[in-house]
Amino acid sequence: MQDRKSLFLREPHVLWPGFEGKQKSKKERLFSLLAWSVLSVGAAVMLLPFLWMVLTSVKPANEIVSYPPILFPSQITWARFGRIFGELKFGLYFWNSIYICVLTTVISLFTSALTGYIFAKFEFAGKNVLFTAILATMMIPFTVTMIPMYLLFSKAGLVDHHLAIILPSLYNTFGIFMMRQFMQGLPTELLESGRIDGAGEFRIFLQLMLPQTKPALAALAIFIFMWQWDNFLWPLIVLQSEERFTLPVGLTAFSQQYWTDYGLVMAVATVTVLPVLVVFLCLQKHFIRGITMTGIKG
Amino acid sequence: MKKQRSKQKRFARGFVLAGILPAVVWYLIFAGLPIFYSLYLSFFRWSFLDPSQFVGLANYSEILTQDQLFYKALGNTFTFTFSEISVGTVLAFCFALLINRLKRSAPFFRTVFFLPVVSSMTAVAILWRWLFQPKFGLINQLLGLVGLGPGMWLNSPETAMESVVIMSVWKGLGFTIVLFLAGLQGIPDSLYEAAEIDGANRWQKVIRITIPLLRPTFAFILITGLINGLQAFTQMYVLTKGGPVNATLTIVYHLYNRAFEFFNMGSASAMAFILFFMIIFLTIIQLKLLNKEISY
Repeated sequence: MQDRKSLFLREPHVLWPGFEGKQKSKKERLFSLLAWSVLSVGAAVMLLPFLWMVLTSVKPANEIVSYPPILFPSQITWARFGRIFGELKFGLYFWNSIYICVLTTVISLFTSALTGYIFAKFEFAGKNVLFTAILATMMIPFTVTMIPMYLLFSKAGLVDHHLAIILPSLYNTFGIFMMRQFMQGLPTELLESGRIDGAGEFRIFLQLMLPQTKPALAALAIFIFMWQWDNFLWPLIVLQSEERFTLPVGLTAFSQQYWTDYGLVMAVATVTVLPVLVVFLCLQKHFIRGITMTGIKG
Repeated sequence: MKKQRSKQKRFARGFVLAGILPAVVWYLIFAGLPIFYSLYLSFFRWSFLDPSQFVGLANYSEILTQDQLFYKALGNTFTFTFSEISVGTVLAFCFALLINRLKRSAPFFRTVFFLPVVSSMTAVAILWRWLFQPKFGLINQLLGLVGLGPGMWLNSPETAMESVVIMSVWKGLGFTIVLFLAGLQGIPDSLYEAAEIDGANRWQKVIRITIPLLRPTFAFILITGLINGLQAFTQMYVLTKGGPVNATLTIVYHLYNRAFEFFNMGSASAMAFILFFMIIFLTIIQLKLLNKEISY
């Protein structure tokens, strides 16, 4: 009986399932409600700046600087967006960023996959030393290499040229590492069967191996693209003329020039942020999976 | 058959060579060469105007003994890094625990918290510069509604760094949350059930089970946070230009000014190496400490 009592105190549901079940679910529900409210406050803090940005960009000028604040504008003005893409060179920054990002993402995906594949599936002299050396370059902060790189590019006459951004992005050390890990998990028999069928090595890579790595490639593509899209310090250093600016550099220069025109600056910020948010909302599954797979900061 | 095999082997060798050689060349040009060139530069007094002059370790000793701005920047960088990591990690951990509890609305919250992560840093910084605007900015307007403020935020040397930290935490929170959520999903329910049977309450479960088992996640967040924080530049460049009165000048910003405003490449390279050694040193210490704790 004593035992039964202590068991009841510790685990009442064993003896009386309804009792603990009901009490627990009530407590649980209360906790969920609490969690939900705290998270809602957090979510509001996350969303409010974006909302304020969009609203500022479409408000009439006098309502932007009014006190007390007017949250929703009395009328909506789209004029600023016309100006951004008209007289101001914003479309150009956009195009520069897009083509550089797409180009470097595609190329570095290919080089990462190819190099990772060779490190995973082939044996050659000096392989381990070479792989370690490549990995070790991840430890070098960009701050250390940016000065000599600037001097080298200025000697080569490539300062203020998009090649100065594209060339250093042709390989991606993290990408090589990730693709090697992924390729190692693929069956070598697949490769052998391709050889028996008489396919060339490059065709085996392109048509047999590469399609197997789609999830890894998708995750890597998102990260390389996002990194390049946000790349700031290096383009700031090497780009000088306005027509060559990428979006982050152009955006910053623009915001400093037109700072007091808050509506215009927020219109520019909106144009920069919204497309990425839309892409993210469409592809979120890949983003989240990509992080848990790669764990690198975007 | 044999002939075909050897032919194939030759093809394979050609393929490996064709694949690896460009990589080797690229790494020599864009990683090997710059690091040695940088080391070489750091021993020279070097600028665009003057002919270069070998000065040995003078650049290093000048930075460490005479450059007061360097110590200011160093202090700012550490303040930034440690506040961002501590505030960001604690908040993200709490939010992740809460999100993990919910079922239907979990994906919604995860998505909302992740929105700033995918937004471009420069755009976000510009947006926050507007939010922090002392007169018309949303933050002071909201504070005014409840009778607080106005704060000077980015315009005062006392609060400028705090403001930059607030923005950076807001921007990075969702990323850390997703890392924690991934870690939380890896903890088997049976552990919590066992603890429940032993009479553990919610707090005890978090402290005795969740935190110890998430140690690899914490380690990853700390180390990447440290490496990124010590190299912070973009936020400061956009929000404050390193000011006011150098209150948000970081090491990388100081180095950037020295190299690309004053074209003092030798001294800037020396500073880059000092930063490099600091990062390596701190990373090793962290790894050591964390490993020790893991293997109890």
